[in-house]
Amino acid sequence: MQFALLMSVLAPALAGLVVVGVSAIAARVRGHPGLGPGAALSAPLGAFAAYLPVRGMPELPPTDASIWALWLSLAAVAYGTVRETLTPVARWVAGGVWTVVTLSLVWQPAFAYGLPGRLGVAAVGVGAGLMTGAWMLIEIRSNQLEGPALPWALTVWSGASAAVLAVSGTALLAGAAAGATVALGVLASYSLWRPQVCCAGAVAPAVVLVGGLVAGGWAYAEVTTSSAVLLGVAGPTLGLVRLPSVDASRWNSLFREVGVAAALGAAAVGAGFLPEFESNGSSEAAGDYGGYGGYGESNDDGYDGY
Amino acid sequence: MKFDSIRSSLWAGALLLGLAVTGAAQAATYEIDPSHTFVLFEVKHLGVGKAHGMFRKTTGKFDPDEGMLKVSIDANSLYTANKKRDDHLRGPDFFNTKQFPKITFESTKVKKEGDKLRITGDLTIKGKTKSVELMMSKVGEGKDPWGNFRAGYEGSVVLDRMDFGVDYMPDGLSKDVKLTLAVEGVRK
Repeated sequence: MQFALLMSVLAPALAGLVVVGVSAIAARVRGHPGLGPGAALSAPLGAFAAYLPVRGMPELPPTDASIWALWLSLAAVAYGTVRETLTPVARWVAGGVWTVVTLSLVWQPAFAYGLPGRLGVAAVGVGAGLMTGAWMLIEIRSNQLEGPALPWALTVWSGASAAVLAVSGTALLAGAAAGATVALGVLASYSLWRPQVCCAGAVAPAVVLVGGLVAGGWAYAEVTTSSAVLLGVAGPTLGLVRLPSVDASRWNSLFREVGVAAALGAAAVGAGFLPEFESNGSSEAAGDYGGYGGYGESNDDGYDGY
Repeated sequence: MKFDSIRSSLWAGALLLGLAVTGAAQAATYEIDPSHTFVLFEVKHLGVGKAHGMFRKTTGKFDPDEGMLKVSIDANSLYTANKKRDDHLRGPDFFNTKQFPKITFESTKVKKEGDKLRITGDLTIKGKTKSVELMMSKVGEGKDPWGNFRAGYEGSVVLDRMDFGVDYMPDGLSKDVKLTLAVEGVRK
């Protein structure tokens, strides 16, 4: 277990270092400050690197629908690489289609029981709207705001999502989100050193990955609706944070963006501890027994996830 | 003499008919009584102890003479006497019960071995189906106080949970899981 935990931090850190290092060397050789596909690869590679030591190579198509988020974020690297060649309309269309496809695949098994009919359409609509908003607005803001503010805000948002998943009974999804966070952290650290590097390419894969994992945690684990909504709202908010008088200072931008991400992220983690409806089948199972008293309910003393 | 022979043949025929009718009555289907049926699992924890749990809602039917056993387990009814652990086991790390709410077993072949039944069948957990063999023994049979005829069987199988995609914590929990099925059915 210690090995798995260690690897879920070390492996993504190594993956992030390799990607950023190779991209930075390639950028120097090309004489261009951009990281090419390196920025886009960070979050998906970090998630895969965290997943592999714990569970091996994810299946395609995956057994657990939540794992679609990993594959679709990897596919979004293509978008993150070529996004500069696309028109704004094409980017919005790509973002909308990608997020609808991601949520539809992640929630596809849930359409049969928890999200039927109009409820399912509404959930996909709201979720895809928030994810597309985060994708587009952070991307646009990344082009305007040079420096480490947005990469760090993205890292904090991803980290808060990992924490929400961890307190919601799914170490597997939390581990993948944590892996993405570590790799994004490497990218964000690089942007402290080289503030002229644009990290906009990292946004789409990160949003697809983290949004998909939180959506999976909401449908199949115990992520509360309030936590999911707070994380969903935090994404577009990061792209909207703007105070012109402070924009001149890189450090003020950094503190402001990270502050917003941290505040909303902390609220989402806190909301994970609020009581919500119980969805387990414990009491239901005792249904038709009429013999010698009822079954005792499970207590939750001392269980540490292991 | 000839008359006696005919009479003997008639008796023999009646006896055979009677046996056939009795046999047909015994080859009845039993419906599983969910409140007296237990699906228990046992897994080694950290290599030092054993953790036990159960599924509390099982439906299905069986017919020992026809060699048929069909079981459907509500995966959400998982119970280990610890709510946090129950939620964890129900989640994507283990059974992912919201996506895969049923665990099923359906027999494909039954062989009598002494007083035991070797039941081969398809076990589906988390959407993955594997052929497994259960050795079932009869616990007993008879009328209950309400006049229903009941029979009970019990058997177990050791599974490799990795085969079914329940592969989280390979170093903390053993790959081998002992699954015990104790069914009680009411004859229909």
